Amino acid sequence: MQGIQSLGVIFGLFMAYFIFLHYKRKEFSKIQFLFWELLWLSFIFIVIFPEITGGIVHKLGAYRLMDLLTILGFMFLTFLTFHNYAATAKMKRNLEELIRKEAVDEISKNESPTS
Amino acid sequence: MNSVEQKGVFVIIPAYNEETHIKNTIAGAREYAENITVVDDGSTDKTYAKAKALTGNIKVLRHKINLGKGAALKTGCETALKLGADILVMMDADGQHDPDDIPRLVKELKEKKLDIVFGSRNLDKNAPLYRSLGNKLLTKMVILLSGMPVCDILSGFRAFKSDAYQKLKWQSSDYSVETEMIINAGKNKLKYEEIAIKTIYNDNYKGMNIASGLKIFFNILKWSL
Repeated sequence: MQGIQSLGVIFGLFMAYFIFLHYKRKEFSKIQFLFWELLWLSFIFIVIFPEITGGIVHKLGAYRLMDLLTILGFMFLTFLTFHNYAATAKMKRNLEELIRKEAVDEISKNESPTS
Repeated sequence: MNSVEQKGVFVIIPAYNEETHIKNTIAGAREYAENITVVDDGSTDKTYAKAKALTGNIKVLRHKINLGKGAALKTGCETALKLGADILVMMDADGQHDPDDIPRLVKELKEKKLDIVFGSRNLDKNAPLYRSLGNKLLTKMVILLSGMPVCDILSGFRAFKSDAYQKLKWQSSDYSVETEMIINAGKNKLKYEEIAIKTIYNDNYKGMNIASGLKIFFNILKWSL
């Protein structure tokens, strides 16, 4: 196994363990846990046996598996950044609504309107 | 303003960690408006307690966490409208606005039958170069977008009619609120006027900085889409 492969396997194992920790803390559902574990185990498998992807790599126009993984990694990161942005914006909006509603409700409850 | 003129005038004061100035700001505003709505935007000091301790027609609302000036103003305006406001006056809690200007803003709004009146500060006086340049750039952009030649786009002292609220309603939860209001006013062709106001400078300036200026710049680009 080459140096870069060892690094890839260690990284994959670390990520698999990280996901397991989230699952153990009940922050991930069983389906989420299985999805992410499967993804990282596949990653480790591909890193150890890169030759199995030879056909796909060349069909997609990449020279090496490393190039393909880098491109896919960037695509995934772009997707995650956008997804996080949208999720944070939605959460911020909902939180703002909730806090504002609570403030208005509290005053309606405690004080009668002026004439 | 006499009590008849004050009727229906609500002063909205968003406040965040303003324990030093909140009492005087409210007391000053009380001289010219029957109804004061203070929104404590998640302060960590005694702002809420100090405002709450004052008597009279003062409604003190509290955001449990800090949401930003825009969100606090929205809460304040919506509460005032529920309580029957005809005219809403926005005023900062840090004591930089002179309450004596409240009747001038209201008078201008009523007499000229306007939708909104903007208070305008003399910005270039003693302002650091970066702030002066930043203001000029943002102002040019807003004028271009809104078609409204307002000199002081960042002034938080303004008065508007309750009917205009829906047309002015903003999405910004932070300091971009003032700029977005102008752009919304321009888009909806609201009748407006700008009058000069006095500004009292305090030592602890907490308002705009380079980062919030840049944020407004990008927001203006976003609103123009």
